[in-house]
Amino acid sequence: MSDGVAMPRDGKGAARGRRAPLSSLWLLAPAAVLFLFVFILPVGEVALWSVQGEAGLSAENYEAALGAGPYRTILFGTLQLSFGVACACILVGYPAAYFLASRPPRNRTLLLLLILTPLWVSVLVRTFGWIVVLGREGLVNSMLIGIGAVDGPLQMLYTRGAVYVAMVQVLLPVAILVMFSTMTTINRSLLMASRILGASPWRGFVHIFLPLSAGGAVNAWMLTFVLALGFFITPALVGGPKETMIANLIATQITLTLDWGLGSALGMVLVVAGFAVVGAIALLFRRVTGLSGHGGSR
Amino acid sequence: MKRSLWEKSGRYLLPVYFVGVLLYLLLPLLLVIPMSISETRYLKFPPQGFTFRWYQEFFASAGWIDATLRSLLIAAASAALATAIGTAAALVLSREGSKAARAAGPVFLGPQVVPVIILALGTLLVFSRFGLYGSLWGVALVHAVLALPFVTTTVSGALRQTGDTLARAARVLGARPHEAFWHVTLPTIRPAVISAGVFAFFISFDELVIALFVMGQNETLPMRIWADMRHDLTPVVAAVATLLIVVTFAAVFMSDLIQRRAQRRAG
Repeated sequence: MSDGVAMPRDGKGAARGRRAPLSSLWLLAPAAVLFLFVFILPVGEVALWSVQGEAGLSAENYEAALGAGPYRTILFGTLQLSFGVACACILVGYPAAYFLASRPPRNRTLLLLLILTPLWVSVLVRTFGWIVVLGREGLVNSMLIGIGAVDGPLQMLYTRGAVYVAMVQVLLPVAILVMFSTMTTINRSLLMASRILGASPWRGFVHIFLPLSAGGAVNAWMLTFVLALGFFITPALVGGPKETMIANLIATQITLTLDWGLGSALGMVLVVAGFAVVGAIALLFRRVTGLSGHGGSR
Repeated sequence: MKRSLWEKSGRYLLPVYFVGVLLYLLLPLLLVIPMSISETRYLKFPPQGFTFRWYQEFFASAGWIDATLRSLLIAAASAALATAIGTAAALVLSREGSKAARAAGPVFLGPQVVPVIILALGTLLVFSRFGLYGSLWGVALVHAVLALPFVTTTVSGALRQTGDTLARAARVLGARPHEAFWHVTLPTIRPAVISAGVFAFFISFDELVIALFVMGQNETLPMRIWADMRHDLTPVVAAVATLLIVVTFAAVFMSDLIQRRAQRRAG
């Protein structure tokens, strides 16, 4: 801030008054219009349909969606599965993100690219890969039979395990990316300082790196959880009937039973439940970190 | 003892673990490729023999080709729209300290946070109200909204990096705002705009759920793959999947190359 000569020209506030505008707010208009008609309007329509009964406003769709019965079971099953998948993504992804963040920037880019490339391949194709790996005559079964570990093929497709393995694989790059970007902002000289002051690397990791990267892990958890809630393709293709998720149920309501009201109510419940869980986790995290004194560390 | 174990794990254990994660992410994809040239009609590992039959079947089938062309058209329209609109929005959003930018930024992330199934359902409700069911242009609009957050973040990132000093100089020297944009700003952010366009294309090209809800008889490529995977699971799917993997990988590495070359020139 002290190099006064350059300040008036490059400084933020100084020249604002007299500089010619480069872009007007109107440039936002097309995006706003598209957004309004193709995002806000459809979501609003879902909300509207969900409260429409036979005769005017009614909560009957929500009663059907939340009352005891198969829908509630599927809702809890979806929340449970998404919770587990998000936790697995963090546990599996954290060491990988840590490794990436500790590489020198040069080969970091290539490794990151390798991690992120699968993100751009269709989820359909990625799920198809798991059918090849886990199928009756797939890679794992033919290997197990080849070494004589099992007599006949194991049933791996159409199980809960298959859904976990495939969903974590689809979401893992997202989790790694979020955690990695937080880790790169951590000032490494803090770790160096702890070493000089006599702390072991492990102590330095637990007391410095872990707390500073926890925020990124929580963000990654919330993002993967919300994304998992809406999963549709993977559970339908590699899961059994027990792994039906809310999204699959909504699709059935819309395409087969044509009960649009119930489908809409299920959708609203999914969104609200998702935000509720994410909000609760965010609150909990703030409280816990606030107590242990790491909040606001930057 | 403890120290050396930690240090050792940093040196050997972590790289090995990382390779394991990479294999987990990439191996199932790469295994699809040998399946597409296997002679067996059902999926069997290891692949048997060698044949291009499944590729021939793909190119000879009107159903598959129509679906592919439809998807290409939708993706091209959607990517063009999302890139144009998103770049325009990024010009405003990248201006630090502007109130509009701070308010609009998070709003545009909405489509990424709300499960796609909700948007698919809402789109169906809106389309059926306005008679747009099965409309290619309609679904291209929805895909453009999905891609919009990606375009705005990529392009405004590039805009922030290059700064607006040059564009401002052009304005001072008498260029009109659109001239300053075309001749000064756009050339510096072109790599980012291109890569945003490429990814917007793939977001649409791979999108299944919304298309499944609103396209009906006008099958797109993902819808066709989905139907095949649910019912017969023929090796043609493996052939299509292989083509998709090759094209996607090529596009990702190409757009990375473009960006990196631009960075090298700038730095």
